[in-house]
Amino acid sequence: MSRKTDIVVIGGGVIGASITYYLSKRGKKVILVEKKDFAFGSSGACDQMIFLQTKNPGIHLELAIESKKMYKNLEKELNHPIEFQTIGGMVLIETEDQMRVMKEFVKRQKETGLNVEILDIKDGTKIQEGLSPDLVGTTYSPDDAHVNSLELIKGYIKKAVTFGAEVLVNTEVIGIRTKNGKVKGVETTKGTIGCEVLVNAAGSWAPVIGEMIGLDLPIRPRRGQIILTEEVPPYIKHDIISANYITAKYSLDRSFDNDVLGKLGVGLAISQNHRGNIFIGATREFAGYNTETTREGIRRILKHAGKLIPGIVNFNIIRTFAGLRPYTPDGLPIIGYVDEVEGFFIAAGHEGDGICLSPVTGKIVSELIIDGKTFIDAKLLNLNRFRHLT
Amino acid sequence: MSHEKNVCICRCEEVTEGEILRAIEEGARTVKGIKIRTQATMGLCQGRTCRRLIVNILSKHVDINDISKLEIGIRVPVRTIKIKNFIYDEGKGYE
Amino acid sequence: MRVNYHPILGKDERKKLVKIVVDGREMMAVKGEPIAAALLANGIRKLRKTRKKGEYRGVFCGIGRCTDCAMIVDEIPNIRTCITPVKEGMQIITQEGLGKWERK
Repeated sequence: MSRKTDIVVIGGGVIGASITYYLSKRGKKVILVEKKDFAFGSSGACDQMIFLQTKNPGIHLELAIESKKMYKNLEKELNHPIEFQTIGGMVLIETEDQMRVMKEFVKRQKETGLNVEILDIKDGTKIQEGLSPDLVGTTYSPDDAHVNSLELIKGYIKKAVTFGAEVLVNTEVIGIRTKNGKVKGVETTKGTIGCEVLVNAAGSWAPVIGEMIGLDLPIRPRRGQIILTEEVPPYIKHDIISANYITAKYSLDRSFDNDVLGKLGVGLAISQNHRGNIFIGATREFAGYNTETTREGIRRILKHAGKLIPGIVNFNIIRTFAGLRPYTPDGLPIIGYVDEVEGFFIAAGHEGDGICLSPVTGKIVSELIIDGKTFIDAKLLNLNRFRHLT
Repeated sequence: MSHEKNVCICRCEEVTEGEILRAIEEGARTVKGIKIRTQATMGLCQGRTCRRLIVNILSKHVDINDISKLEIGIRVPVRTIKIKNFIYDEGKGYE
Repeated sequence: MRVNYHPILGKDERKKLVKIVVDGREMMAVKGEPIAAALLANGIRKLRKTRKKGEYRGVFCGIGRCTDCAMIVDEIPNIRTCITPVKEGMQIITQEGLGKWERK
């Protein structure tokens, strides 16, 4: 089988699906190629949060704020229910040391334009029941949200198909065809696809695609274990994380963290979905591509969760799973063309922010490919910022 | 398998055989792929009742010579268990 | 609907009864038997309504594996009644979909 198109997008997760949608919307012929099936990577093993408060103040948070704005109309635009809800978010603060770090973090967040405050624990309990009275305080931002990532992908794909996009699942990319330093097409398990541009949106597997043209991408899988409870009536009213989560994500001062929490990178991230299941996460560990959950990881997460929100201890858990966040050295995704081969575009490395940044990534990628520029300085996200590492 | 496409396969999520066949038509080749399209196995019993039936339906449409490729998705815990059972320290026993 | 005489187990000699309340109605159950058994004995086979299609479910596997028999018991939803023993004064409600969680 041999075919030809304008752009091939590799990866059927929230990033690949979003890019396929935004490119097709602007008239490009796109074929999305997915090795297994939709959401088989991180997009299908995540906590569904659009948590602005966890984004590093600066370009990271700016992107998140823009992305969240795009989410507001997305459901109508895609004409598909994605269960997007702006429910607000809280960061639970356990110790005075953490409060010190968080006060600084919140100051920088406000400077970037985020609407966020620090509350004492009494006020925190007024907006979320079941919190531990031993907490020192909590932050609150009304802008945090969550969405159903599986329905989001389905929505993007359905709409992209109406614009002429083609989607091939169970189709693995096994090679990239280049000529005179230009992308000519991809070799897949179902035949060749000729194209001008190739977008590597393979998340934690982006390095596998990068290797096909000799690129050594600085993306590593960072495992996050998550626990799912039975469906319960609405209990967790906002997206909630612990300050540990932020210190784990950015390897900030962890001298006050318990040793084991530190090694597994445990930070609480808890939210409740549309159906009533409560997601309780998570660890941050480098464990290769292993998506098993461990006894120690589950125990540490639940112990931490039970300590901060004692109200949940009588709920039943029905499932545990783990996702692989594509980790980059500076916490920002890698978006842009590469110097080595003309037509090879990367859009991967969202480390736990894929759901949040999916719309804005689609926008940036479509603008860079079609218009040659986008609304932010493209150099900030380009792979070249890591050249000094190789 | 029965020709009655309204047969309920996943009892928890109320997914019929017809919906599962449609998911296979749309490209699902694994139990996980069917799960993502229909929500089968996502309910309270986590596939204990329907997983075998789904594998049976898949086997009629997909060449299964390697069962590990089916992504059947059995996960810990194998039965529901209260969160408080994980909070006590080792040696104190479970409820 | 009770098996009062069983070819192997013999006659049902259990005398200790407890009172339970099902959807507001009081009825008697044998002390320690599973809730679903008590309900069956009192002619109740519909235990819950499903979330999407609103269909009634009753006992399916009977061994606590399938969760079809889930009801709200003493204000906690998703209780598998086929393996949960009755207690004096138990409040049992037909669960509709997710159920309601009254207690804090």
